[in-house]
Amino acid sequence: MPRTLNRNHRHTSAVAAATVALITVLSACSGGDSSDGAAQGTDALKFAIQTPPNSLDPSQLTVGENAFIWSALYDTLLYMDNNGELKPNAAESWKYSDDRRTLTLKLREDLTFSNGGKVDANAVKATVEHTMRTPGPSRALFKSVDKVEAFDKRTVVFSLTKPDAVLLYALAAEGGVIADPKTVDDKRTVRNPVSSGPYVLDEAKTEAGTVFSLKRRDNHWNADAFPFRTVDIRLIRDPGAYTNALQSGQLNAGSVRVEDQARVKAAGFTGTEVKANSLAMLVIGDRAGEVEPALGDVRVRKAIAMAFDREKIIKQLLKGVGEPATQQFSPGGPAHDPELGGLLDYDPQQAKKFLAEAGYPDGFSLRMPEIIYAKPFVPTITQSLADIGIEVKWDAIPPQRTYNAYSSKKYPVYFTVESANAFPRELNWHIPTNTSHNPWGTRDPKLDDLMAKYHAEPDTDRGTELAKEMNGILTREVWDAPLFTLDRQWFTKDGITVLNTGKSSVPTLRWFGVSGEGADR
Amino acid sequence: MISYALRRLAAGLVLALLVSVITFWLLSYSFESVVASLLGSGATDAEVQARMTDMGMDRPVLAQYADWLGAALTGDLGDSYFTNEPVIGALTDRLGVTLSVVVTALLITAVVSVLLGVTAATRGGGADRAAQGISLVGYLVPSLLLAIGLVYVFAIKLKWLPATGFTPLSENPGKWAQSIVIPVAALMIAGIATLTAQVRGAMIDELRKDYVRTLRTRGLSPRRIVLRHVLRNAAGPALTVLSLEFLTMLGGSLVIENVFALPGFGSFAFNASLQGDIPVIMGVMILAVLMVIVVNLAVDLMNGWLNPKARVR
Amino acid sequence: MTADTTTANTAPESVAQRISTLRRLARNPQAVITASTLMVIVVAGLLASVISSHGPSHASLDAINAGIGTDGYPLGADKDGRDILALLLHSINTSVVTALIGTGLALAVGVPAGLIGGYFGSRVRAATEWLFNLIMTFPGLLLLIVLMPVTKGDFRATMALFGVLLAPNVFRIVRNQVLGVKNELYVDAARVSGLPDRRILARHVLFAVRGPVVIASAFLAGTSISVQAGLAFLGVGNSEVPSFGAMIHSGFANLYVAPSQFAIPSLLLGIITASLVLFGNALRDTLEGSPRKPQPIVTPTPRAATGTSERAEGLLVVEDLAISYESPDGKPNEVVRGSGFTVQAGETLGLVGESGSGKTQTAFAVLGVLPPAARVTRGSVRLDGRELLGLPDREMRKIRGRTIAYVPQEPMSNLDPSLTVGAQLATSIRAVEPMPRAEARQRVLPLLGQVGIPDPERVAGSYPHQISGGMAQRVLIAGAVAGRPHVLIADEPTTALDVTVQAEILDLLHDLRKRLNMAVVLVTHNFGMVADFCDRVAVMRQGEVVETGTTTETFDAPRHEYTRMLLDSILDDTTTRSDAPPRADAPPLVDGPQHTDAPIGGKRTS
Repeated sequence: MPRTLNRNHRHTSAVAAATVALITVLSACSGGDSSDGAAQGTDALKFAIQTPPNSLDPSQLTVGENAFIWSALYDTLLYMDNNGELKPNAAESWKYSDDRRTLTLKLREDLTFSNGGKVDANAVKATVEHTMRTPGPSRALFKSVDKVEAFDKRTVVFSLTKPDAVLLYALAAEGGVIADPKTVDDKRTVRNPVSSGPYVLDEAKTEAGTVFSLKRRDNHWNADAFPFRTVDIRLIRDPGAYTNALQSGQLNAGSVRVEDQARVKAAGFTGTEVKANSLAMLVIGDRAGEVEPALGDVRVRKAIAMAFDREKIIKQLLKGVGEPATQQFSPGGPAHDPELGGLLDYDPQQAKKFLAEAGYPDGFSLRMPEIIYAKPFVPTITQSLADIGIEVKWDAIPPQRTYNAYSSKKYPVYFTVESANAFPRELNWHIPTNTSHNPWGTRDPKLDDLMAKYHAEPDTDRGTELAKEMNGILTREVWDAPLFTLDRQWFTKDGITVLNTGKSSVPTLRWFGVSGEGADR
Repeated sequence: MISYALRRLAAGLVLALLVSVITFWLLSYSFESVVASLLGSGATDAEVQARMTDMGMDRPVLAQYADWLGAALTGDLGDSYFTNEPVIGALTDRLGVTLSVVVTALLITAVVSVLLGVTAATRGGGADRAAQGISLVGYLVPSLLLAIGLVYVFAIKLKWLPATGFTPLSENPGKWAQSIVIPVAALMIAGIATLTAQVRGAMIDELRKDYVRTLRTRGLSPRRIVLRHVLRNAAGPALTVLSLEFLTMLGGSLVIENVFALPGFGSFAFNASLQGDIPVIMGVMILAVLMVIVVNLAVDLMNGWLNPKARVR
Repeated sequence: MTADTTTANTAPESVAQRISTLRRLARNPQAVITASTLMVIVVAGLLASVISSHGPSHASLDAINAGIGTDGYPLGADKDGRDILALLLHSINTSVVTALIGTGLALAVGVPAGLIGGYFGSRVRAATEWLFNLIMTFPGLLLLIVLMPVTKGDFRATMALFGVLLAPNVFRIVRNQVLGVKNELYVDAARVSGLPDRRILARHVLFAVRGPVVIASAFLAGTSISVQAGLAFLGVGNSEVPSFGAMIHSGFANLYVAPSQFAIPSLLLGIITASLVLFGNALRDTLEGSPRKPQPIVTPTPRAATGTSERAEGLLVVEDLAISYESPDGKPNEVVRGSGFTVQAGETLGLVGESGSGKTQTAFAVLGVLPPAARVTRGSVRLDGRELLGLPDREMRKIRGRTIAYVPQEPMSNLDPSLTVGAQLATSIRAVEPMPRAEARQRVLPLLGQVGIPDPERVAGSYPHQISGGMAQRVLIAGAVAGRPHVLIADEPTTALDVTVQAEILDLLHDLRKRLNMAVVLVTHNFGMVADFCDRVAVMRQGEVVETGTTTETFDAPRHEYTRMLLDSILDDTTTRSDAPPRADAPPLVDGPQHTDAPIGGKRTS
């Protein structure tokens, strides 16, 4: 056969050769990339989060991963240290009146906004009022606040309609941010607020949807608490991509799935466990049995809670990164009561018996919303409940309908994973009506009474007792079926350490330190 | 020709307008849940209603659409509910990322497929079996697997290429090229399979035609016949497939962008859809429709250039 | 060349023909392999609950990440402890349902709309077209995701929606087919006989368009399955529904822990979609023509000549030429056996014979442009004493166009449709005499003038479809004589033309022959033309030259029975051929050579 078309062959191999050459050339001109990181050493922290903050407006902040960003940009009045204790921050002291309806905070003197302006009591007042009048996730934090006043330049006074134990914790989190009153209503606040925190957004390097680049303000009053001069927080949604970014050295800190932990360790990262980072449970909202009559019977609710072999789920499904949970609140908090242990432990035989006693020997069927957090657990939940005779059907729920699914009263039971939080804030999920955990508005006069007492209680020990009492009622009545807590493993490189062990529930850059520094921040 | 293009574009705009009406109307059913999700789990019904009033969502859908359209006509597609970027800027930024990957992948796909397809069709035998084999492998090898394999070798082991992320061309062309190598390779594989088969088929159909033999009797070399005559005539059908491949790759970029954490159009649109980011969804739809219209028009015009019979006045 | 070559344009095929379609499909290995693969997969899906011991949603914490071959889990278990085999089998069922819904809806919407859009008047057509353009413009995948609140994530509802989005593809195919058949005789007949439109559409038109629709269905099914898998991979929809996409997603997360969890579903999905595509291709090959085999332009170098005892002398000598084609069953099929003639310089030879007698094959063999399937098995072709058989193509190229040139039968299909006449001629000029492009262009106009084209400038700037058949033939003749050849082979140069034009073309050839002092081989079935034009004649029958001689001798005293018969028939024959020349785009004949002049006797249907 004549070789007239040989040229095409040569072209093909030429393309292949060119491709290899191209990659080689490309890698040659990027040689600096990895050495960049090394040169900067521990000066630069680079990690990623999965979801960006919707808005950096004080009224729109939430306590999730995105708190790493806003907590760096804003000073909060108080802060929760790595042991979960409230500590002075922008406010150097605070004091409740005896009736716990007046809270007085004294601001530090050396607070400045990133534009150079002074932070004073009026700025606090303006920010809180902005949040109180703007619909958004933070507004509910101030529902017991009647008014907030600037007594003098450094003194802020909150007047409450009733005692509220949540307030201090709110002021240590998204409720405590201070924004520049002159710009807080401007559009820029949403993306790059004028604030007084230890970092400012490096606008040149920040790309929406890709990376938030933070620059430390070296003259910030608390700059010493933040060892990293620059912090790049990238946005990586896919867990696999996150792991690849860590492995290839694009990030020097991060938290990955169990499946990928071995790979990350092999790449030279050190793991630190953050215990009980979140709590997974089945919220049995229809506990009065309005939609699913069976759930009106506490034995049925108990049976549901007893259907789960928590130990095995932790061991097999979660590969050990969690603990079984049988109580309604996070294990680290004051409500946790060892005496309640074992009440809802795995016992399928007993569960079936309970169902039979309640009049459901053949079980019943439940429709549950398949929200995004539920996806990894759907097969196990389905199987566990099927084993005691309860058939579960799942409705796919797009993320935008998650809250709608909670509050629609369409789903008598739903699965959720909540970030662990301070007890008063967790309490706020459970007992008040109209919350995501209480869509049907179940009320129990005894609980209402205990809750009111708790909010007004100045004494910590007495408060702990009340908390245990409420937990006891909720657990015995099985308002929700707690399943397990989830730990989180952080991996760091280059002498970066993780200081939080699970006590602090507000993500902040203070979680990260450099080797050789104290863990007291 | 220009007036034809303008007429087509005008018709396209009417289509885009219709698509926007339909999309807005469909979306109006989820306004409430979107606002609820914006406000977070603590929000009461009253708060949701208040926020909806704030956002003007308590008014008739038609009035809201008119507002949107009015702003859109002045080039303002509003701000994203969830990232608060102006939609126009956000979309064009992301489109830049996606087009970097897709257009590069498309060009390479076209070149490789034409080489393979032409070789297979004109040489037959082993070359043909090889090309068909490559096509089959393209169908069977999941592009995800290829992507991960490349990441493992080039990003994790050799550290030659970045594992995730994107560098804009304007910032650093070298890094730009690096950041798209693996995504492009992953996108190409299925495209090459499809397009090679198409080019091969179109070439075979064309080579059977009488004029090819007549050109040979004039003493033309096979290479000239293929390059100057057959390829041009076979390009028409292949071009249509290429335009479909472009749209397929845009769809495929959705997965690829996720896997490589590229801030692209696909993942942006996908997340916006899931979250119910209404201004973004509207913008995405309009832009997607306009892209389809422009691509189709471009293909028709190119077909006209290639094939005088299809040329339009 | 019987029923096999009839196309869908004739009356609806009979049952017998349908069976033969199936039989042909059964002979196509690609169709058989892909169809049986799909069949096995679908049956396995149907028997899911028999084959696997677990249900698809049975999740055992103990079985999490069980390896391949674990007791009760032949393919292992996934990261949730579900049986991969069970999931796989049930995913097949999901895919089948997906394909049925997606394709079904696309057909249910697209076919009727296509029938209506193609059959009724232009206003209806414009309206349907506009509607489907609108549907086609929607960004499909995004719409499916945006509409998840509406479909509630149910894959069946999603695929129904996707089916509607696919409908424009079906619509276009059906509409184009209907436009093609709607004025066919049998449809007209049905209309005249008073059948209502509805019945005509259902009975006749739908029947005629079913082939392309069936082919399209295979591709639509593949697309539906891929899209459903893609959505499930992205996590859109209900993860309780077993599906390849969800399995691949779950396996992808576990890629480094248990690669088989990713590989197995990916591979099966790949096999299913690839099978559908390849089956679709095989279907197309079977229903719409022969399989597309590559066609190297350059044909194999013919075997070197076998010596013949008595060497004839002449400018062009063809001796004892035999050409055979390989038939599908592998046996050689000799179409030319012992063809031979001699042409002296300046002489005109008529190569006469009925269609299929091997005239054109002989001409192609002389030029060295036989189709790839042909083999010259013996004989000799000598030009000025130089043996041409056995010359490599590179050498032959120097001869073609310069020494031997060719004028084809059908003017339109022998011009490149996408280049102007001028550009094509310039190419021919440069092929025989290398020169800058600009110079070649300047030579085009006089050349066109030479073949009697009155307005060379306009014609040079025209595309083939813009000029008449006679004009096109002149252009082809111009291209052929551009290199001032010594021998011109004209293959039925007037057959495809109007009667009035035929004489003009013949005059032109006559004129050129004299002017350039060319020898001409006139391939024709027409003795009348031979009488007018040729010095000598060679009569071919069934691949053999049965008689040669001077025209006068042969006409006066034909020696061969066959020649006599042919001569008798011109008395009542007109100068035109009774059968139309083959269309350029006609499907190639099935089991013979794919070129003009079918080698086996009998009249061609085209």
